[in-house]
Amino acid sequence: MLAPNVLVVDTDVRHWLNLLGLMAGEQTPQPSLLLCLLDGDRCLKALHSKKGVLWGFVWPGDDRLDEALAAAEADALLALPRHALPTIFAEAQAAVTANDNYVKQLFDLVAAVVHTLDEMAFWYPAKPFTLNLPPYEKVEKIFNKIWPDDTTMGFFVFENSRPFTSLLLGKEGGQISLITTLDALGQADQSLDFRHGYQTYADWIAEKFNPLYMALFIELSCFRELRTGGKPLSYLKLAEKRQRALLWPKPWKVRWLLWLARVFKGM
Amino acid sequence: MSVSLDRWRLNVNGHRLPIVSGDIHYWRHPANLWPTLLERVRELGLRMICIYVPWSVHETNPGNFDFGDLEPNKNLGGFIDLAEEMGLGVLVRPGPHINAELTGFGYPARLFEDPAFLMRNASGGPVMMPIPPHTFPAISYASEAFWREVELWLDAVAPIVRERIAPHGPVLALQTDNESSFFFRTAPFDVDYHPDARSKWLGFLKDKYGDADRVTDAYALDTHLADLAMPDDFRARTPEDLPYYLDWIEFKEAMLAGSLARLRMMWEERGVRNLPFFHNFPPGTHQSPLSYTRVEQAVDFCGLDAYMHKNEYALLKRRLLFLTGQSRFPVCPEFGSGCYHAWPAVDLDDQIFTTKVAWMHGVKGINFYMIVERERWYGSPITRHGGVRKNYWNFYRQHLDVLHKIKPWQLERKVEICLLSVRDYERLENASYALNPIPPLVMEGKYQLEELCFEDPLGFSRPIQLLHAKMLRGWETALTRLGISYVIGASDLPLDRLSQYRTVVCPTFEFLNRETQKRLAAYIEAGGNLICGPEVPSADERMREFSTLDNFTSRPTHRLDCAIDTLVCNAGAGRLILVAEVPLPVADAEAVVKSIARHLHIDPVYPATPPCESSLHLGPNAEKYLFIVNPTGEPQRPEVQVSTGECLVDLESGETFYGREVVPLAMNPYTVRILEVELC
Repeated sequence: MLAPNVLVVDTDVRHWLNLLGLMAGEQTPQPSLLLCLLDGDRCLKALHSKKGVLWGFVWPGDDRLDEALAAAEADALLALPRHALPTIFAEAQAAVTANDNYVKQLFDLVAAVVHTLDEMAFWYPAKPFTLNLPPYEKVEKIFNKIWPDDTTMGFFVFENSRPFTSLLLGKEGGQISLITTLDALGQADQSLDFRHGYQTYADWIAEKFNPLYMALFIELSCFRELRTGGKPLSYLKLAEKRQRALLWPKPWKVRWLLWLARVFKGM
Repeated sequence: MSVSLDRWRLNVNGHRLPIVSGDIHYWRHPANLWPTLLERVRELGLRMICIYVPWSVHETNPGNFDFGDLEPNKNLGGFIDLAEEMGLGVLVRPGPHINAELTGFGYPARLFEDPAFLMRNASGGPVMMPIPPHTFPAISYASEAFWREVELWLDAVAPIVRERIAPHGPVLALQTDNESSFFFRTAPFDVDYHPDARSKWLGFLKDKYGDADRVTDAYALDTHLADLAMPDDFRARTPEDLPYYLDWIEFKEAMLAGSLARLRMMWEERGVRNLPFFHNFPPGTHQSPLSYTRVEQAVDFCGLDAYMHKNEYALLKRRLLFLTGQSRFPVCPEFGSGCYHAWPAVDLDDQIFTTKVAWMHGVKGINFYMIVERERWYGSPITRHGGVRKNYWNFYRQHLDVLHKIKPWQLERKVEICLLSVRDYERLENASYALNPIPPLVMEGKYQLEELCFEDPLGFSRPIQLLHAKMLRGWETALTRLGISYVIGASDLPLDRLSQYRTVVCPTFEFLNRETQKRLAAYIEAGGNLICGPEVPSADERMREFSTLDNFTSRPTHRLDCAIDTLVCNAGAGRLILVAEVPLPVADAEAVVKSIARHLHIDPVYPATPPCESSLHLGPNAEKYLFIVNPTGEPQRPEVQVSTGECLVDLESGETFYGREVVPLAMNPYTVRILEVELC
């Protein structure tokens, strides 16, 4: 799904930094975790995810964990035997195949970590998350169904009618092979407002790369509202009506319905 | 030598060239664009470039290479010749490890398919590098099979480089390998358990101890050395258990430096000689298993790569002071000018601030990486098409003008004190790292590494692995608050380097390397002030009874008037000052440091009101350049102490600041002012 020699070029600094900022979104407070490395029932090291190292932490025994958590001001506890980290590393590395693509490698790596962690870790009160990765093959199948090869996908956010950030992805041979921004188009005037310039953008992209398969043009404020609100599809529909967003190509409804149909079929 | 090191410059037939250069990746640009790109580099004000030469790009099949016959953008010789035509010197970095944000770090993919070439973890499994866009297995530099492949690469590149070494061509220096650190896997028992590493480890032990029997004696083994298992976990309980583990870490130091020495020798055998060889450590604070001293026995100088953010000032400063305290020629062979997409973003404000901080803390050369943008890189002043990114371009243009005025490579930073980081204790810290195999380099920004060690005192009066680094941090904080300049060196610095400092601070505990003890004693005898403690070492690194420093402490002259028991022991022209307790917390350290500084007549020079800091650099004609930093996210109005009649001229803005003995400044968040001290 990701080409090992993916071309990442012509990234406008401002676009890239703005994109990272948008993707990061707002930080939500995380529960605090107390990690204890144990040798038998002796605690060798205690690390608090927010407070750092807890010096001289003594393993309280299984029946006094609530007390210990309260004293350490932690929401959950993860206890690992001292040989757990090397085992997790070894299993994860052994699970990865060098010839696979990066996404498949990450799927295998994460699955191995989760599996080994489940075997070796002691959580209290209970494991605070569950990670059910779908089978990689299914994900890859959907990816290829919803996005044809030799086309590009675009994501363009505008502020005051000018591009705030842009991301253009190309796909070839079943893999993302291009990551770039509007900077790659080399056009002197990239400040066309999307409401009347979307077709020009699409033409420029087709001229330089593969044709645009699908793109979202959206105002920055609208994107932020979209992220925080519920029902994104109906919000998007409304936004398009008010000319704050545009899904390309038109009529977008048909393309989106096709998308969704393929997704469900793939599942 | 055609090109030699001349203090902090490269000397070609009497022409002394500073290392101020920029990286450009010729193979990533069409050859017909090379003249435009190099012309832009010149217009920016640089006269030196730096190039990686990637094995994976040039190799067409094993032992066959394309240097432009098939694809013009691979014409290495042509590119170097063009640089010469355009008046640019060239630093060459042909790996074999180059990284360069290439998939597989520049090694041919075929190497990843043969386990004979690959690193092993402690359980004998593979060592994978999950770096986007592709996870690949790490190469083992212990593998003799790998070195045979390296010969093919060097055979191919050497003739092209050899005939272009200055003064016959523009090649000024060669970097052997890149960021040697076991692929950043510096946890103690993570790598490298390749079968060839085992034989090298046994050979190292025999060399160190003289023969196999002495090793088994030292480790109190009842088996033959050949049966000894490589350490795969830290299980020491007593001091006597330690040599087995400390030797393992030392072996890894030796293996890294040995690889660089071997590469240098291989280049020289192929006629690439008479020019400086250098190396670059990866971003990090360089303690064991990385060692400037060892690496600088293999190459002529070792630098540090840095890609930092403005809000990481304290960490950046620490790394730079390690660099300037230890390196023979403190350069940054890669200094962030732009960023790789997969890293936390570095923006222009970060670049402006950190670049000036580097010069402030005594760096003597910088290679801006990248000066020309390319695939998998953004934020450089020159685009890959030869255009300019205006704001970036303007900063580098102006900054290079200032550099050519003040010439940092000719300046001496006024330093009173060298803090010594003790190799034995660094090794103990590394060996007792509790989060093995998570790479310490990954943890460094979030935690102080010593805090991640096991806490057992191991039979000593205190857990040395925790306190050694903590004491150094206490000293650093106290000296910073008092406005006293310092660097951080390693305890294996040669005596002539130690003797450059009036005062050396060295935390000492119950044991200390025999050679280090002798060197510290010689330093005192030669007139130096050694501040040590809390213990006077009574044993060496093999835990055999040995002490040189007790000769001094047996004759204390007097006690200093401070909260912690502090003995002064005069000896010849020098003196030993023993701080008999661990001066922590920092407030205690500050009181002790103040008292000792008063006793030794060490005064701050042009101090600025905290949290701002100052650093004075003296020019060859008594010019005084003062760097003032505001390392915070808030505006500051520091006052700088000057002598009567002095004023400060900002070399970038042109402003002049006046005051009687105290000059008030206004500092924006995360800024550095470069000032010249003038008589008004």
